[in-house]
This record gives sequence, C-alpha cells and structure tokens, in this order.
Amino acid sequence: MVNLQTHRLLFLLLWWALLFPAFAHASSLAITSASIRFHNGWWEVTPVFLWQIDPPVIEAIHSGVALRFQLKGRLIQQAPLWWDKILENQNQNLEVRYFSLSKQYLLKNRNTGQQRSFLQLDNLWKHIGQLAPVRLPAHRHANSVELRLRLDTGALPAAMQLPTLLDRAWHLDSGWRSFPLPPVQNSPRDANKPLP
Amino acid sequence: MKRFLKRSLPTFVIIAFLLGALYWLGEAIQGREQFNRMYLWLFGASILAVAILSLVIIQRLIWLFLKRRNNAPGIHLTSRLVATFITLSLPPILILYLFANQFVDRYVDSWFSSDTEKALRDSLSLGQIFLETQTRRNLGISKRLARQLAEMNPAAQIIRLDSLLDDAGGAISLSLLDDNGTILANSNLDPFSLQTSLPPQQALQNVRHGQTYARVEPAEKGLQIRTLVPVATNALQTSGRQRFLQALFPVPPAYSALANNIETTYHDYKRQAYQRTQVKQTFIIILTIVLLLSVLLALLRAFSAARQLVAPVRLLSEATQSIAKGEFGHRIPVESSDELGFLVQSFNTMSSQLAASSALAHRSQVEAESQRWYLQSVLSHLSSGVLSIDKNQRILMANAAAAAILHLDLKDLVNQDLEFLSHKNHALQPLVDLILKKLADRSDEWQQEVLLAEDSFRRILVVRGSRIPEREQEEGGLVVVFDDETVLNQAQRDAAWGEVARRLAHEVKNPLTPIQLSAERLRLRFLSRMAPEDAEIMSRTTDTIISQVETLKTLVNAFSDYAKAPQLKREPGGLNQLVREAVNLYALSHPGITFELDLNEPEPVLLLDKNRIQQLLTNLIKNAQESQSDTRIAIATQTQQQGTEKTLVLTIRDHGPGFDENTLEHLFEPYVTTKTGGSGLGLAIVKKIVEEHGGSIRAYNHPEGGAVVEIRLPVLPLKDTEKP
Repeated sequence: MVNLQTHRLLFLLLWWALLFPAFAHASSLAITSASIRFHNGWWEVTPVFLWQIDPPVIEAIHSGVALRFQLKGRLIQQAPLWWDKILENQNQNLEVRYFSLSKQYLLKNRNTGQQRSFLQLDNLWKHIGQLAPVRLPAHRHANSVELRLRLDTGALPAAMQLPTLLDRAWHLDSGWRSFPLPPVQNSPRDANKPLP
Repeated sequence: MKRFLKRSLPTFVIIAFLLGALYWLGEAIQGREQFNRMYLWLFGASILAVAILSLVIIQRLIWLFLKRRNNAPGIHLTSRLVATFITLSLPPILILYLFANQFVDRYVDSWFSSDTEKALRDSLSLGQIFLETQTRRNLGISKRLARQLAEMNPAAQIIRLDSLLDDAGGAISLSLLDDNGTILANSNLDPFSLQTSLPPQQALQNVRHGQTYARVEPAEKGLQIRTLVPVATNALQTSGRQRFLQALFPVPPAYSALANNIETTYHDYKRQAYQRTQVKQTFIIILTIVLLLSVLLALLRAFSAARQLVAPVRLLSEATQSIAKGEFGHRIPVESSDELGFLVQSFNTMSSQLAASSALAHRSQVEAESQRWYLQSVLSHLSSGVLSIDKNQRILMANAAAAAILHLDLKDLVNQDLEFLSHKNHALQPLVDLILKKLADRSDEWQQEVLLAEDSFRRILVVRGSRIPEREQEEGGLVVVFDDETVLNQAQRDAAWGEVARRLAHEVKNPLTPIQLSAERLRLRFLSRMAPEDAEIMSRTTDTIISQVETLKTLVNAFSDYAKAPQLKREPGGLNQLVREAVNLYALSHPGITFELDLNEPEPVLLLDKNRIQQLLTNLIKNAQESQSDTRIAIATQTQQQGTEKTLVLTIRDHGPGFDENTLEHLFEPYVTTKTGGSGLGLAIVKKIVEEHGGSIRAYNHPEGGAVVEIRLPVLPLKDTEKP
C-alpha cells in the first residue's frame, strides 16, 4: 500500500514537473471595448486592449525577437437560430520590436508602413489599437462587428515555434469579441456599395 | 527493372519527401524566413511519418510474432534476417546520432563567444554614444531655435518657421505644435513631404512639464533624431496655450547605415543567444526524428528484404510439403537469376522428374493392380482350390474354390497361420500336416492325395504343390493347388456301375426267358410221365429254376431301371402332397408303422418328376422300415436359404441301429446293402433320382440313434413359379 501511494505521489510530481513550465507563465490579451465610428460609408473600429504580458515575452522582445500581431475585423450579419454571416473582413498586420540604439519600442503597421516609437512597452500596448483601426465597408444587413487580436506564432523564429506552442505565456489571443453596430442616421441603402 | 521501379518508387518518393522536409526544417531553424511558416507543418508531417512508420513496424512485428507462433514456413529465416538488419543498421545510426548531437551542440555553441558579444556590445555603446552626441547637439540647436521663436510674437513664429529651417543645423523638418499635439505650422526641407509625423505622447507629456525630448528613431530612410522643446511664448498672446517646437534631424546616411548594421547584428546575435537552448533542442528533436525515421525505414527495409529473400524459400518449403503429400509437378515461378533462382529452377526440374516418375509408378501400379485383379479373377473362377503360403506358414492368398473345398470362409483363410485351418476344421489336419511337411522338406514340386474324414463324409483331395523360387517376393513359400476328387470318383463309380447294370440287364435278361420257358416245358412234358419220386424231384427242381429265374428277372429289372437313361417329366409342384401320398400308401400296406410328419408349411415350389419322387420316397420309407425293429419313421421338410438360392431339405429318420460306419462311404453305390435279400440298388436309385433333380444326398447316423438320410432339392425361384 505504501509503495502504491509513493508511486502515485511520484507520478503526480512528475506530471506537475512536466506541466509546470507550460502554466508557470500565462499572458493574457483581451479586447475590453471598441470605439465604433461610421464615417463616409465605412465603419472605423478602434479596439482597446487589456494586456498582461509575461516576462518571457518581454525578454524575447528585448532579445531582438520581433512579434507580429494580426488584428482581424469582420462585419457580421447575425441571424437568430442560424449561423452568422460574414459580410466583410479586414486584417491589420502589426509588428512590435525593440530598438536598442535609442532604447525605444517600435510599433509598425505592416499594411500601411506607418510606425510609432514608444519609450515604454506599456504605452505601446495601450496605443496598439490606435495605430491600426479596422475599416470595414458598410452593409445594409450588418448588425455587429467582431474583432480579434492574436500573436502570429508562425512568424516567430522556427526554433521558438515548438516551445511557444506549449507555453501559455505565448498564448496571446483575444479570441473573437463581438460589438453591436451603433444606429446610423443615413444607414446604407446598398449593401454592396459604400455610402457617399 | 520496371517492376523494381514500380515497387520501389513510392518508397523513394516518401524518403525523398522526408529528407526534403528534414532539410527544410534545418533551414527554418537557421532563420530562413520562407521556411518559417512551414516549420510546424513540416514538423507535424515528420512526426506523422514516424507515427505511421511505427504503426507499420508494429504491424509487421505482430505479424512476425503470430507467424512464429504458427511456425509458418520461412519465418525463422525472416526473424534472423530482420534481427541481422537491425543489428547491422542500428549501431552506426546510434553512433552517428550521438556524434551529430555533440556536433550540433558544439556548432551552436560556436556561434557565440564572449569576445564577439563584447565587441557587439561595445559597438552598440559606441553607436549609442555617437547618437547621443548627435541628439544633444541637435537638442541644443532645437533649444536655440526655440529661443529665437520665443522672441517673436505667435503670428511671426508661424511665418518665420521656414526661415529658421535654413539655420536649423541640418534639420529637415520644423513643426510648431500646441499643447494638444496639433501642428500649428510646419516647414519641411522636402517640398513634397506634406505630412509630418507626430511626436510620441510620452514626448508631449514631457514637454508639457517643461522638459525636453530628444530621441533617435528609425525613419523611412535610415535614422532620424526627433527633438521636442517648449517655446517660451507669452501665454497671453497664445490664449494660455503652450507651444512646442519639433525638429527632425536625419542621421547622415553613412552613419545611419553603420548604426543600422550595428543594431541588426546586435539584435541577431542577441536573438540567437536568446534562442540558443531552443535551437539546440530543436536540432536534437530533428536529429531524433531523423534517427527514428532511419531506424524505422531500416526496419521496414529489413522486413521487405527478408520477405524478398524468404519468399522463394517459403515457396520451396510449401512446394516440398506438397510433394511430400504426393502432389508432384508443383512448379515455383522463377523470379530471379541469382543462386535462389537457380535453386528454384533445380527444384522445378526435380519436381517435373518426380511427377514423371510418379506417373510411371502409378501406371505400373495400375498395371500390377490390373494383373492382380486378373489373377484373382482367374483364381476365383478356378474350380481348384489355390493357397499361397509363405515360409512362415502364413496363408497369403486363397481363392473362393479353396474356401469352398475346405468348407471355410475366405476371410478365415487369408493372412492366417496354416495351422489355423486345422483349428477351424479338424478334418483338415491331414492336409495341414502334408503342407507343413512339404514346407519343411523344401520340395520343389509334389502331388499327393489326401483323405479327409468329415463326419460321415470322406473326401479325397488331390493336392499339388510348387515351391516359390527364392527370387520371388514370397521366397521359400508354397503354392498349393488342390481338387476335390470325391465327386469325380463317385461319378466314375456311378458310370461304371451303370455300365455293369446295363450289360447285366442285356446279357442276363435275354437267356432268362428261354430258361424259364424250358423249365416250364420240361415240367409239363415229363412230369406226368415220371414216377412219383422222380416227378416230385422234377417238380421241385423246375419250381426252383422258375422261381430263381423270377428272382433273377427282378434283379435284372432293377439293374435295368438303374441303368436306364433318365426321361424326366418335371413340373412345378410341392413335395408335401407326394410325401403324404407315399406315407398313406405305405401305411395301408404296413399298418404297424408310425409316421411322424413335420412338413414345412407353406411349402416351396420344386420342379419335380412326381413318379420318380414317389419311387424315391417309397424306396427310402421301405429302406427305413426294413432296417429297424422300432416302427417309428420321422419325415421332415425344411426350407434353407443358401446365398440367393433356396433349398428344400428332406430328412427321413428311422430309429434303428443306424448305418454301419464301414459301409457309410459306399452307401449309395449299387450292391451295397446290409440287409439279407436286398438288391443293394435302392439307395443307389434314390441317389440317382436326387441327382436327376439337381439335388444332393447324404446319410449319417443321428447322435441320438437311428439312421438319417438327408436330401437337398433346389427350390424353384419365385419368378419362375409366377409364370403361367
């Protein structure tokens, strides 16, 4: 009996030893809110993120690893008791890197080439949405917009891809977050054409 | 070659794909961006390949285990070949793996050195010092420009911004911003550059608190230094709003490129240092996958090679088993021209030869069998008995006639010891003794008569023996042929007696009538003339002559009847009625006799000449009555089945002293009688009548006393009786 319990204890310890590195750090990323503005027949959605970045990720940034994020937005027509219909979608590709010479963090929109530098990383996380607002053409039947920001692990150096697959510190994915579209006075008449 | 390509091409393609995948994995690890996104897919594909190969190998191992348990042909050779392949291929792969691990470890470590790291850090510091110097210089210029602006009224500040740019110490852009970060005025050296990048929020916050901001930052082309300094404007003139001057100074391209190189190299180095352990682990994982793939492919190849090598051996084994079962002519396809192919070809030749030999042997066997059957058929149709006896006194072969003559079943003869015959039938002891004697004498050819005494029968066998030559199969044995000569002797005697009777009747009967007539004439002519004494003598003498002639006539008539050729008038009918008639007739004339009848009912139908049968019955009853003092005569009929034929058995038994043992053998011969005054032809005529009806007769003494005459008459088949 003693031997059996000892074996069980050893097994649990071994199991936790194996799993511990995966759960020791756990970054989180969430979309808390979004500013939705209808302008010239386009919906401009600026999300606000809540970040909790763990030291391994920060260490990787300081070590020269460029992180690429994908901000995805899509215009949705929600139908009761049926699957949602995606009307439009747009991707924004962002890159975060550390600039050692000036000791600044650089945020670059790879779609537009626009970039901004930040002295502190926290400021960069706060303003990441502002640099890449999602612009979606208006549709008559659209009633919500969905957003998602995730770390593009495929763009990480190959040697890091397998370890990050198992490390929750690198699980930077907000998941899809849905926001209802506000009422518009001049609502779009033709779903396929942007309003003037 | 085509078949080899067709069979091996998929394997080669898979191996090439795996090698390519492993190469791409290696490239991806070394930072080739085009392989970066494929890395996990390639890794997954490699793991999948390892898993599939493992499953295939497990399946092969289970197959090997099951085949070994069932002791399948060629499986031990397969096991040994697989084990040999593993033994040969595994150690070098493992050694290579260990060395490769060490090599990778050292190779990755060789990327890094403290000197390189220090040099890079120094370079970075140098760059930072240079850029800081540039930044401070440009900040000084910005402050000077801000002071100049501060001396102007707000409107002039906007107008004079362009003129300040000329004296801005290399600045490419000057912008006047309010405390919200809104650009109030902008002056660019490049007239096509209409948009000016805004300062970071941090910078605005700094300057709002009276501080300055100066930082190097990457620009579209190279590096630039951004400065932001407050402009000490009279607050009353600007409606209480602060104003800031932003200046952008490009780092000279030559320095910028150098700084960029330092930045890139430093970051690359730092990134590699950061990934050092991960790169090592990834290389080890890839090497492990390579090892597993190599081992599994080697195992697969081992199984495949073993199967290819063992296939002809297995086929040979199966073909040998087939031949062992007697399936000759089994051929194996020759698939190679190597030693195994030669072996298979030799086996095919041997198999063909065996098939031909087997066919020949079979044909010989069929011929021998045919001859044996022919011999058996001949022997079975022989009336002579034939026995084949080996030197160990065992009967190897006997024919049906032998069994019939010896009164034994055929199955009691074959494969039995010779002495067994005498155990089965004691009467055969003289025959057994004779054969044993001849076996012991080793006589080559001999012939001898043997008398067998079987109850009341005495049979004469003429036995001929011939020694089997030594070279024959049954060396030292005997072939014994024997005939029952009893019937032949009897027939010869019957014929002789018939001839005697015929001559007697012919030669004796003719003079009798003249003798009788002469005696009667003498009596009539001289009796009356003679003296009384002479007349009396004459009368007595002539009476004697006449009476004796009558007696002679009766005797001659009897002989005549015996010798007479049969003229039967046979017709279907029963025996019972005839028996009853004969009994009734005799009972009337001899009222003191008691008849005990036990007649078979329903009686079978026989083909009978009623007059002759009546004569037969009268003779037998008369014979029985005359031979006894007792007055009981038992007559019985019984139907017996012998094979497909039925026989009616008629027995007549008296209760007298029985037959004399000495006369029993010749009882049915003419002139054999124990009675005084008998002609001795009664039973001979009875026997003749029986034989005329296709039957047989025998006489014997009843164990409880009395003589028994047994007559067997064939019963008419049922189909014949049904005919109208």
